[in-house]
Amino acid sequence: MATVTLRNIIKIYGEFVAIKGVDIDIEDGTFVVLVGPSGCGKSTLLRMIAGLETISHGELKIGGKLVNDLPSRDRGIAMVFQSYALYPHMSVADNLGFGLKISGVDKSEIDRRRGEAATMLGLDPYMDRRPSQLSGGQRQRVAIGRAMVRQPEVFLFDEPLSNLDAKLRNQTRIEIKRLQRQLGATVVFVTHDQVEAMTLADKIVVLQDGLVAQIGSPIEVFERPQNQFVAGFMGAPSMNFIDAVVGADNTIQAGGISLPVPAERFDLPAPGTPVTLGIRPEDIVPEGHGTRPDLGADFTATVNFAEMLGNESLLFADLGGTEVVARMQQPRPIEPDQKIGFRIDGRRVHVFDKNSQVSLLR
Amino acid sequence: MSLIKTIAALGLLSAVSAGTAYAQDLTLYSDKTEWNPGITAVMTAAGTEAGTTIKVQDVTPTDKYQAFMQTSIAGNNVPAFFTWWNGNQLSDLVATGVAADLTPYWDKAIADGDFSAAQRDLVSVDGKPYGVLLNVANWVVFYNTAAFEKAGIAAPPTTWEELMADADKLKAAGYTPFNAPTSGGWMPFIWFSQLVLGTSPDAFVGLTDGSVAYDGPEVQNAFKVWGDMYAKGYFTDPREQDDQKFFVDGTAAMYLIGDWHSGSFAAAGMKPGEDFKTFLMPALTPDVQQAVIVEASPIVVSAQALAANADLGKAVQSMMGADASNALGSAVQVYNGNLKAAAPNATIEANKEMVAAAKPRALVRWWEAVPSQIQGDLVAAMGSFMLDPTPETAAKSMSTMQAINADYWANK
Amino acid sequence: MIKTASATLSPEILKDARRRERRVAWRQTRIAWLFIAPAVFMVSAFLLAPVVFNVILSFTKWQKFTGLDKFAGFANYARLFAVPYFSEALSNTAVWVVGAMVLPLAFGLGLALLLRNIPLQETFKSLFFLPKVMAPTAVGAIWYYVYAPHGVINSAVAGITGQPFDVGWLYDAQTVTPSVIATFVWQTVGITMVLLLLGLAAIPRDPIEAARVDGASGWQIFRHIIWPLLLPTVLVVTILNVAAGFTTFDLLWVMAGSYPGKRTLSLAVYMYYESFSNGAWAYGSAVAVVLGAMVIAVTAALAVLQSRVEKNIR
Repeated sequence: MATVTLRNIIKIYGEFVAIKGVDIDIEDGTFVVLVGPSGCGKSTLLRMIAGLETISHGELKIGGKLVNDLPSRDRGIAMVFQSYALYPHMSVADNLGFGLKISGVDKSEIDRRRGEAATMLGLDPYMDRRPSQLSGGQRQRVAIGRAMVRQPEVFLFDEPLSNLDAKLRNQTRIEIKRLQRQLGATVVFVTHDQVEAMTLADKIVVLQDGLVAQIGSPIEVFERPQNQFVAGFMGAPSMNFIDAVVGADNTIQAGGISLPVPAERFDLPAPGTPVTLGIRPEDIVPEGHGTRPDLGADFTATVNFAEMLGNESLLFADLGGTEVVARMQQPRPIEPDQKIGFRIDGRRVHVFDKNSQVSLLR
Repeated sequence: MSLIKTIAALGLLSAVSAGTAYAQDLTLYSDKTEWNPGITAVMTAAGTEAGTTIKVQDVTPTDKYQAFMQTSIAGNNVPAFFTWWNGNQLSDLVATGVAADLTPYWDKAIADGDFSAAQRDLVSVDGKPYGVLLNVANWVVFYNTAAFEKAGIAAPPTTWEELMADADKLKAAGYTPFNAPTSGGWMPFIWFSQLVLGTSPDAFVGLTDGSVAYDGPEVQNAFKVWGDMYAKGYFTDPREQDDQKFFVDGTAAMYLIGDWHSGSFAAAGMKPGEDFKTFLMPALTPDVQQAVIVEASPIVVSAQALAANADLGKAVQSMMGADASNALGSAVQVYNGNLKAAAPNATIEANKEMVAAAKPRALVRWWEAVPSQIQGDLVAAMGSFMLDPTPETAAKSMSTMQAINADYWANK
Repeated sequence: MIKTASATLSPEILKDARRRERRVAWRQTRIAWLFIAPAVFMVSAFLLAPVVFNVILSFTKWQKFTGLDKFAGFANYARLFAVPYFSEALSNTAVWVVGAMVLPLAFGLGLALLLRNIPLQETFKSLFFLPKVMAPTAVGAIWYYVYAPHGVINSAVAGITGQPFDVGWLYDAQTVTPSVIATFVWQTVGITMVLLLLGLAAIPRDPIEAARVDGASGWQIFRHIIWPLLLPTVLVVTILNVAAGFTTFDLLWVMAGSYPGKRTLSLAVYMYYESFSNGAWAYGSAVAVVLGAMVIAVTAALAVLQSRVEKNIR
């Protein structure tokens, strides 16, 4: 297994700059997830690592070796595609063995590695079938197996779970993580799904518009988003953003309430400065549900709409003219237009600079 | 089986109707494009006589014309008038019943002194005439007088040795001795049949009735002489598609062809009797009788059309008159043999006299005499040899021709 | 109350359900039949009936103007091998079929692969396709002059080398078939290329990229991924070209019109000459039957192969 280093990577398509100078360090054996909305450049970045796109500028090193101009086959990587990209005219066995066969690995070695992978992935009963005769999940496993048998330095996954149904996606996610641990593999995994990012990654790279918005562990990225974009992207439902003003004595004034915040948490500007207040739905606690935050502010609002998910409900209510979402644990039935009291947890809110959208967390 | 016949007729009708005018349109079909102005003159006058209009429609080349006529006849869609050939070709046609018996018109023409009974035999099958003569031609060797003069040839040759010697002289003087085209899908037989004729006139006849083999000694000899002449460079490039080009542009000094061709030479600027003259082709050896090929082309009249319109008889009679012959002669210098008409040019006149004086054995052209079903295939083999005049090709052509010939007579 | 399947699926209900489905199916296909009927009629009247008639003809003695009512048995078929021209035409046809199968494909595939990712490819595509929209007779007429004794090729070679150059392309048994095949290829390579480009465009990009990552070289990608996935298209193209190779007539007719041995240049030409020129209608029909049988057999075999290959990559 190997490290992957990206230094000032740029990709241009004609006039369009897709990747605008990206630096990422991926340590040996880590699971890195590139996440971001569509068009942020995450797949392009992965394809550049794979050697399927040229690198317009910058340096890409795999295992410490500069590989900018090496063809895919010499980079020691294997890739799992979103569409699985299986060879439709070959049996599962041939799909698994193709890369080894054309590299001139001898038959017994191919059989050994292929057998190992097939057993590990539970593909033994399907070795003679062609991809069209397999279910989506089985195809996915073949695609992963095909990457495994090559024993690459780095595994690349390009949104591999997006074509699976919800249940299978959760299962496969766990399987991939388990395999990565077992193999101690270096993995670069692209997804637009922040849940996948959170659950799989040792390290998350949030991309926005061809640039790195934040790199960190899942907890870091979730708990300490460096800007409003990352804060909004990670977590579902998204963080609520409300226009606010810094008040006196470590308070934030927003929507007619005064929310006290811990002094040591933020570098707050002078009182009167407009800021954006960020509150995750779970930090707007309906009265009588969950733990009542010790530091916070209360408000009462009419519930416009309640989305009942079974184990919890999402309540949509107005806070000073902005609709916010609150999470209700152990839900009870809510009538439309019912008035409910909420309490915002002052210890967990985020404050962003109004203009730069940078977090004011200390 | 009459059902099949009906279906066949229907099928062919639909197959050919796209390219065929309806039979009742009074049209004369012909493959003789160069003679179109003459034929048109004759038919316009004939049409006027019958109180109608007769158009002339050309279909060329000859092999395509034959295909077209066969489908028309098989589809019972016969044009009112069409040019044809005599000999076997005519008897095949007469057997179908599409050709009108022209006895009354011939009787009147002979009575009027326009034609002779001997001429009637040229277009008769089993004693009955089935055609109006369009062309009666002697096959002679045309020669370029200027070329002969330049080569120092005082008089045209009378023996084969002289002919060969003259050819050498012409060659030395920068001429190709003989113009020998392959064009039109029929011309390759000219030299083949001439060389067999020069070897043995009986064998020449035998080739057309199955009694002489196409790989027999006479044919072998003909190919040998032919090949030797090619080896000596006596013949023009057979790939040229304009058959008279090398003769009229002065490349070739001689051209063996029917004297109906004199009109096209004249049209190309050579004056008959001055720029070119003719002589009879000698036999290969002195012991062989002098022979001349006579070609007679008939215009056949559809029996159906004649039955449907009695006035057409006036047209037919008009076509046999001296006026028609003169119109044809003056337009394209083709002579139909009318005794009261003048020969269209000096060459044709000279040929008449030459033949009358030499009294050669007159023979029907190989093309008309040979069964039409194998005619084209045999010519193809002769043409192959002209393009590649080697002994190997000669052997191959002979064996191909004999296979086709034997197959035909065996299954007749 | 929750119903069980056995309670609702009584035989009567099932019967009624099936009847309804059948009625709807008929109502839908009834319209379809209405639209198919004219085509069925046209194909029967103008294709099947003449074919049947032709087969019947081949067993008669119809020659020139007579013999349509005489039964010949297999005499016409026996005669195919008694005269030399049929075998010559057959072997030339074999050359044609192989040439038409291999050459347009090879050049078309080469061009398709070259043109796939270059600028101005639309222009090049149109240029290569242009000959196909021309009538074969027009193409033949143009190429006749290219090959003529003083035509483009001979003059060009003579001009470049400074030596007299005179090859009778269309007059020599050795060169006439290759020359006309070259024209056929020139005319066919465009449509072949376009069909192959469509086939190439239908190949998903992912397996090719996967193969690249899997370590395959350009040639290996072509050999192991592109070629197998393109094979169904290749076979469709081959069926078209093979059928054309068997039945080419117009090009030969126009280009080799002045070659004396033209009747043996292909079975189609031979059939034409025997029937229409020699008047051997019955014998010509036998040639047509043999030619038709060969075309059907070969294309059917290719079609079966094609559908099998097609299924194999799905």
